[in-house]
Amino acid sequence: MAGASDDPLAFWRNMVSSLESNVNSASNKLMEAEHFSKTMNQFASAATGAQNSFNEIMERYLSTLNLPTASQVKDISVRLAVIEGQLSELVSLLQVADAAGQGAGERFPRPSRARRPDAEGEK
Amino acid sequence: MSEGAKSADVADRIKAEVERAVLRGIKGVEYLTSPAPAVGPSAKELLLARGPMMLYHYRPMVENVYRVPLLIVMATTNRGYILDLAPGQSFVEFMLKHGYDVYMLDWKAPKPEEKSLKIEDYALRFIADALHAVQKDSGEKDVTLAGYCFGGVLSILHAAANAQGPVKNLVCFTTPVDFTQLRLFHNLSDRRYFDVDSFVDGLGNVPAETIVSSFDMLRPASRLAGQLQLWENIWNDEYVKSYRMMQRWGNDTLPLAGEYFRQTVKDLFWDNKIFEDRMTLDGRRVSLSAITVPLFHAIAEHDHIVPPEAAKHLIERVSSSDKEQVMLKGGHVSLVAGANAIKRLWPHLDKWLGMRSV
Repeated sequence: MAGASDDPLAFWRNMVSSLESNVNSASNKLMEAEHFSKTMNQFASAATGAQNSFNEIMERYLSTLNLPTASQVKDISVRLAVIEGQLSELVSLLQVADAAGQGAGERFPRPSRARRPDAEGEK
Repeated sequence: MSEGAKSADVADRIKAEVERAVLRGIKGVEYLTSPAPAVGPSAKELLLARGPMMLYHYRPMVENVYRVPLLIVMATTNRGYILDLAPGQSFVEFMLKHGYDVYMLDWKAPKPEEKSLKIEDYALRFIADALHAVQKDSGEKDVTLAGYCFGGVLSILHAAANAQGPVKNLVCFTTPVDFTQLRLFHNLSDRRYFDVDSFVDGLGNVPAETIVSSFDMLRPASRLAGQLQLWENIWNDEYVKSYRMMQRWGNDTLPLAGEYFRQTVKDLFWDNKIFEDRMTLDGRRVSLSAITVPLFHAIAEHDHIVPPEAAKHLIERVSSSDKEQVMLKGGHVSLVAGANAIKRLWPHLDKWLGMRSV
């Protein structure tokens, strides 16, 4: 069997592994510093503020043109996804109820509940 | 090894690498054009759906199960199929085959009008509803409650607030108690700089993208490194399948209800109320010392999301006389899913829980 020195991709593997480890470690140290939190939150706050102002202006503009905003389209899309999810839940619950009605309360086979830790041969 | 044999071996390696390089090209195209593998293969039925909660019952795999059913509570940011990835790699399947009657409380994205859901709704009402449904479905009064990550936090809060039952055993996987030790999240939510009220009031629910980004920040190089490792191993179908399942799960993160997030930041990250024994739910004090049922807590040695320092205090805070905490090799996800979990956590838990489930 070839040793590690004969493995043509060993250098690549080691490089990826140490790159990941070093970058993660350095980033974590940076992120633990107080100034990171301050800067990050200032930036996030400013970005959110700017985004909100921009959204308000765009909303007024699109409203004037009688057009929906991206967030309204997104809301409709979320609503549709929720409705689809609820429909599939209803179908699933109806199937459970239907199976219960047909099978005198049995859906999945009901096992006995007397197993002991040393029970064997049931796999 | 002789020089001749060594040369032949090197030649074999080069041949194998050339074959892999060819396969990388072919499989790479397949990867880009094929859908992600299916997940969550164990047969299950939906027992209860209300708001963001979904309670599933898995089809038993043996004819004789333990008396006490097992209810797994998933973390509110992630989908439950991490515990049921694929046949042979599924915690749920393992427990079913080892004689447990398994239920799972899984979550879906809260709707915009559900932004006012609080920790109380999750820990006291949703878990209570799920426990009641499990009791009714199984015909058993006792239930084992098992929570993963923040699902564990909700489970311990429920058990602490309901010492009278019906929780018979409590199982926690990498459950944080000291939130100051979740260093990045704690630093990001620093009360001096993070205006959580403006954040939540502006957004309603916290988008999944924000949560994915904050998880990625913990390991900023890992996504790229994962892609490079994928390229190297793309000839290997099993590796690619596992990679895609894990990647799908990692990206399939759930948004959080706004009030739930606000409360998590203020009560847990700012005031560390569970650790400092000042937590209240619905105006009632909830202390971990009220927990007296048998407790099993598994912590991952290399967990970058919930480090052992954040989780290790659970065992000392409960009043249970029957309690065990294990520190296992692995990370936040590999503790409960994948090859390491199959060898380490699952058999260990089965041994502990079996004798307490009769």
